[in-house]
Amino acid sequence: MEIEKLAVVSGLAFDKNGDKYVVTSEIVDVKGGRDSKTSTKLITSEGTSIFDATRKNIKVAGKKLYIGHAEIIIFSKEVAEEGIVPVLDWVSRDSETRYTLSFLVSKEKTAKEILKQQPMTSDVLCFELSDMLKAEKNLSYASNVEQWQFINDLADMGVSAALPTVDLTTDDNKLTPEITGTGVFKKDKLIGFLNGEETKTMMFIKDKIKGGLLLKKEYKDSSTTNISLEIFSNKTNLKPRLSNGKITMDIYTNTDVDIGENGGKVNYIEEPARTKLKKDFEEMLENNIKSLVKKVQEQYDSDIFGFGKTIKLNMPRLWKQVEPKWEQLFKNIDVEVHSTINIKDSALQAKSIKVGD
Amino acid sequence: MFEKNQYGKIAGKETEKVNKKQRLKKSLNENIDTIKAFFPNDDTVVFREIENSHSSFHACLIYIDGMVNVDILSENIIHPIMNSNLKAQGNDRDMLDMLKNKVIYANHIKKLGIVDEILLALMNGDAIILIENSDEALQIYCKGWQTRDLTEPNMEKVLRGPKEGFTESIMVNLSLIRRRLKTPDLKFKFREVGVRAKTSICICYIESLASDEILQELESRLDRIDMDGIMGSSYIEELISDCPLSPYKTIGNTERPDVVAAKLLEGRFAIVVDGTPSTLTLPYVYMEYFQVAEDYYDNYFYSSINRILRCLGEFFTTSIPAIYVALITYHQEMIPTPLLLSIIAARQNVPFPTVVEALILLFTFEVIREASLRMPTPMGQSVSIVGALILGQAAIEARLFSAPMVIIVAATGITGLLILKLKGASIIVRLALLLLSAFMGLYGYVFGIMGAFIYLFSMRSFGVPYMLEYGSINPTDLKDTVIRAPWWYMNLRPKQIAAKNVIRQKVYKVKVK
Repeated sequence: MEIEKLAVVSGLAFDKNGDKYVVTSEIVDVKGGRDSKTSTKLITSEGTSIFDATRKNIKVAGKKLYIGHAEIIIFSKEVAEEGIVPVLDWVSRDSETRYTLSFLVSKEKTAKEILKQQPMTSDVLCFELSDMLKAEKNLSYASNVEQWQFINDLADMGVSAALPTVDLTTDDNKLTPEITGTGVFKKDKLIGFLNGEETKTMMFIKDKIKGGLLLKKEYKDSSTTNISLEIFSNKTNLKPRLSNGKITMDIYTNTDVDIGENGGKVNYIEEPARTKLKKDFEEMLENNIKSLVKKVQEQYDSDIFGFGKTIKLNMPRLWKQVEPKWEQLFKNIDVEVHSTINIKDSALQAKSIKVGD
Repeated sequence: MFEKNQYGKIAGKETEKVNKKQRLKKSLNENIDTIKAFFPNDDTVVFREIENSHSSFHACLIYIDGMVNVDILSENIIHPIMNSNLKAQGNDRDMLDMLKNKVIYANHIKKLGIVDEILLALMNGDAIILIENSDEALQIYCKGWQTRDLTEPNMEKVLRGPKEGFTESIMVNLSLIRRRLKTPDLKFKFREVGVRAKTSICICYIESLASDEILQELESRLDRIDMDGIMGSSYIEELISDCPLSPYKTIGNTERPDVVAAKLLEGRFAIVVDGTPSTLTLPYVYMEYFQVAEDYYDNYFYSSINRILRCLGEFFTTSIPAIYVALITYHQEMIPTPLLLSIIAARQNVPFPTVVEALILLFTFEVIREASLRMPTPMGQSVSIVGALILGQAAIEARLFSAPMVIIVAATGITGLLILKLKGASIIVRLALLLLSAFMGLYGYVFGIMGAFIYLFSMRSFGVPYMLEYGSINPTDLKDTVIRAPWWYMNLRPKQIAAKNVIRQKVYKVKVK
């Protein structure tokens, strides 16, 4: 297959139109010559199944669509809520699709709208979405889930899957896609969403934090201070415990941080202030984790944290007994959180900016 | 142990019309006429009749003009014969001896009786003296023809090291070797090869290091040569080689005396051929393609880096077009995405498939290379301009070829210039790998590489395996292959070649502070 006869697809979007599936592909179109320009086109086609729809692209496009370099697949809300397995089967079975594809769920009405927008910093929208997902490790508002990870989570008994969500936001009167938050799945259906902050807490529990900020506002002497801690690394240990027939999960988090921003007069490097700061943040983190677990247990009842998997790893005999009833049991798990925050240093300045006269 | 060539003698080959047993007669005039009959109307052969001033002694001096040193003739031969006091001796045999021992001032004189030998001596540049009443003649060594200066050979230049090169005269060449190896162990064995040309060749070896079996086999193969004449050493090389159908050489050649001396010290044989500066060395193994004289005259770090560059260059020059075509045509998912998009952009509207483009451009590169080799210098410039402009600019702008392909072919060509000795083999291997990978993708490429290696490993050069130090992981073997270890580590000679005496030096320890 000669290389110039291929149309390179950078991303796909799956929608549903009544009974039919609609597949939109973003094709990278490179103009040759001295100054090569990269531009993208959208090709849409309908079919009774996903494979059918992708094949029907031939009706419209002259070149063969080559999916070997695609990086993003966006599912619409509707498709995800109906059950994602019918849509996912072709993606996993086809030999050309990479198993490192990233999945997104669109919070807008359709997934195609996302692909219609102009990218901000690069020429191809889907490559830009993929870059955004990879850079999320510095913000931790969404977690990058690749195809192999998603399919493993769907298959595992003790974990429910979760996918990052994308929506459109207005920036300077232009609509542009924004990746933030998570979509929560139960079995293979989408049941709800978490916002950015909640996703960060979820990543704390799942031990997926690689960067990000912890924020606090302090009100003191009629002035507000913003204190931001920059996370360098984090290690979370989940330990299940059986006491009086009740399962309790101990969550130990150990975070290394840096004082990134200190907008007030108090010097947090000196001893009494530093210990107080540490305690404050630890408490905040523990509360966040507890409230998120409660929310997920009550509202969604889906084990996205992997508690079941942890019990399977640490207490296999208990897991054998508990497994058939896990769905009802998840609601009643208690959580005890012990967070440790280690303040390593404070970047370039020890004291905050002095204000003279 | 040795692979013999399968080519036999062709029946019914005619030989020269010379009676090998014809002898001289006792009459001076008859002998002169006999020899004159062989050179009718040939002004290069001079018959100079000499008389003695003290007696009635007649002699005839025969020599070929342009091949003798005329000073020796006039001062050492003609002058004493004319002026010394020769009383007529009773016995003609004694007259010849008296001339030889007492009269003629020459550093080497021989007595000859057979006409065939006399003619050969004349054609070697010696002078012949015929006298009355004797059926023998004197051969006086006085060769003096034009030889070229000792200049550095064009193809084997070094920056730091001796810059002498062989010339076309066998005696000069042998003296260059002898000067570097002043040991009585160094043996020279002369031979004549070629029925009509009678070219002298000389087999050189160091007796205590070289293998007797290889010497025997070499001599038996040289005995089988039945050609008319040997104009260059490659004639001999093709006729005695182990694998005559292979593009890889099993006998090496060089024009530098220091290289020959170093190879003799490792237990190898050298064949010096009269009339050409290119000498053969055998046995020859694959690793010697990557060894250059300069490696041993310069710092060992720098030399090791150059060696690694050469090995990588050989790999690149055979594999780059094949891998590129395989990836582009069959395995597009292995290329990073930005590169893929650039290549698609460059290949828009190019009419040929990638393989055809590669073959055309490689052919063009070979044409340019060969043409610029044979051209006189003023025209060489225009060839390079034509090549650069036409290929580089116009073809790409006219959308006939794509720019990445031109880059690939240029890279192939330049890395191929790193090892010139391998150019023939590289072209064939490159073409084979390219075609295999065009039909079967990377599978074809891997099969091609495996086939090439199996072939190389099956070759032998005079009984020595061709890939001698290639597959070993023994550090003693690897010291002179991909790197050049410093001299204090190289304690042993290569094993199978210098089988008699493997220890090169006593272990020499260096204290590093």
